[in-house]
Amino acid sequence: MSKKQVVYSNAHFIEKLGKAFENKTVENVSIPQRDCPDVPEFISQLKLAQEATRRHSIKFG
Amino acid sequence: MVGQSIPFARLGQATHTAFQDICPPFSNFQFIDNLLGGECSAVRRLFSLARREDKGQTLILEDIDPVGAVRDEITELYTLFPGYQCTNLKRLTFWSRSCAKLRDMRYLTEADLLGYAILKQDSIPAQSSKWHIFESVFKKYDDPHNCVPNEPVFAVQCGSQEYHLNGVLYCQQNGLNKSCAQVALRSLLSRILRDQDICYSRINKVVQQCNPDFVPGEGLESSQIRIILESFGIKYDDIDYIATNKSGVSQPIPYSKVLYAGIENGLGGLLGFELSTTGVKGDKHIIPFYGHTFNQDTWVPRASIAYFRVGDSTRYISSEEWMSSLIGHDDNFGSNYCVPRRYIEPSQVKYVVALRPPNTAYSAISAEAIAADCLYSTLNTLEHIDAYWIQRLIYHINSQDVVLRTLYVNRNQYVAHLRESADWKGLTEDTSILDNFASSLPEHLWMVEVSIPELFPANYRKLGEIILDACVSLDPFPPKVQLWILARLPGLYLINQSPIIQGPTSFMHRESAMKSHIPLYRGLNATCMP
Repeated sequence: MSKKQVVYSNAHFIEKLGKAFENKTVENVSIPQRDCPDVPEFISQLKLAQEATRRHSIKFG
Repeated sequence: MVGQSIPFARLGQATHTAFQDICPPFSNFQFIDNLLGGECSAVRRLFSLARREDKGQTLILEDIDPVGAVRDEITELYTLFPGYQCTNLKRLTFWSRSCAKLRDMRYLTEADLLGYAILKQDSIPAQSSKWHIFESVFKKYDDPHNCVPNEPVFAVQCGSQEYHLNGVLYCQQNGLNKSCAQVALRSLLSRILRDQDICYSRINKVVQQCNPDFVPGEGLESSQIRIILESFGIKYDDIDYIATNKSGVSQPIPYSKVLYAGIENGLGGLLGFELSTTGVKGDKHIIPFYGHTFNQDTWVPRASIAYFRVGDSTRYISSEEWMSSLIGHDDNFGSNYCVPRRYIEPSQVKYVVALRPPNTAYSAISAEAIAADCLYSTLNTLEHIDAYWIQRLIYHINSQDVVLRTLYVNRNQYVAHLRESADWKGLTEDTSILDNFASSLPEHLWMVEVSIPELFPANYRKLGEIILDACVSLDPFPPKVQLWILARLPGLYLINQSPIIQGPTSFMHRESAMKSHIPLYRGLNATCMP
């Protein structure tokens, strides 16, 4: 039987922050992420670089 | 991994002690010629470090008992080379106070200690015996713009006393059981695993388990460097430039940016490059870096080439742009060298690895790019706020020339940083806000400091931070868990209140008492910024 992988969650921290600051808030604002592919593409390129790095080896000495 | 409880090599008991006045007309050159009977430029460098500013007055030479990592190396070499002998083992301590006899040693204090070195002579049958520096530590050049974050303290014996000094361990190869790669690793590992003497046999054994034909004196493969770091439980980010160039990665991250991330976070990194001038073409060397110089007056950040481009629509200025030189060791030539930032040509650099703080699931470089995106996403929200420093920030967001500096902090370190901070008018934060952060923020954070040109280099101050949860995996991206937890900007906090990712993220807008700029974080021994 395969073991279920434990996925990290920070939902409880965010809920705690919400409770800690309720009644002290100026307003709630909605901040949509910019409609820009730069960061996803950047992260994807970093991942490609890491995979290429893992497939190769260089000797030092 | 549990450390080996063996004594440190530098704490070996002395069996014979000699004193040498090293003030002029004493000649370093002649003394080394007589002591070693051969050339060793790294030893000459030690004496130069002691001579600088005419500080060095006394050299104490002790023959010492082999203990700790030295004893371990002798055992390893017996096994590798039958008939091996350690024919000499000396501890050199350099002092800025005059001392000519055993009885006067009681007047020596830690403030007088400039540095120490353990010199070891190895002898293999049918080969001439050779000296090398088993290890040394020298205080860094005493300049506020010479930054070595998170410098460890080393205890060293001299006579019957133990003395302490800050520095970064330098080690030299002997071509027998260690090459440039093993000694570079030992330098960096000793900064992190401070309660144990890092033994080469342990490093070599890790590799041998994967490759029984491994010959320690011939060096390490980059894949073996990774295995060693993992065996010590150390996180890292590395780039093989040969492989990435072949695989069509559009713009590999520059090596100096990778190293800077490791250095600024107090861990350092290794740079592997091809020797193009002194060595045979194709020979590759690897050296450790652990510090940098900071040039307030550098023109570089004003040049368009200095902008770090995440993509066509996202750019910023990295705090790295004020770095003039990397500080590191070269085991061939000695310790505490400054290497100008762009001196080693990118075409020569084949591999870079930066150590990353524990409890992080992604790199400082990723965090910085994500934070730039988060900051630029706040534009519509900030535009309605009529406050000078917010409007100033908006100007720089629109120009995309904000300055970003990325550091790992835990929750308590972040809250302590805010507690001790005051804005330009001396206003401090409401303690109830900070108490709430102390009890409610995620534990491990990437703090991306947000500043602007002139404010950053001239005042070492910032307008705020973007706080990301460092434990969230970036695979898949975008993640299914919230990365962006908090933004602190002049006069306000934006606090994430969307525990589940579903549509645009909702933030609480809370007022902050700090309405202008505050000091940059200097938590890592206060040496990362002047």
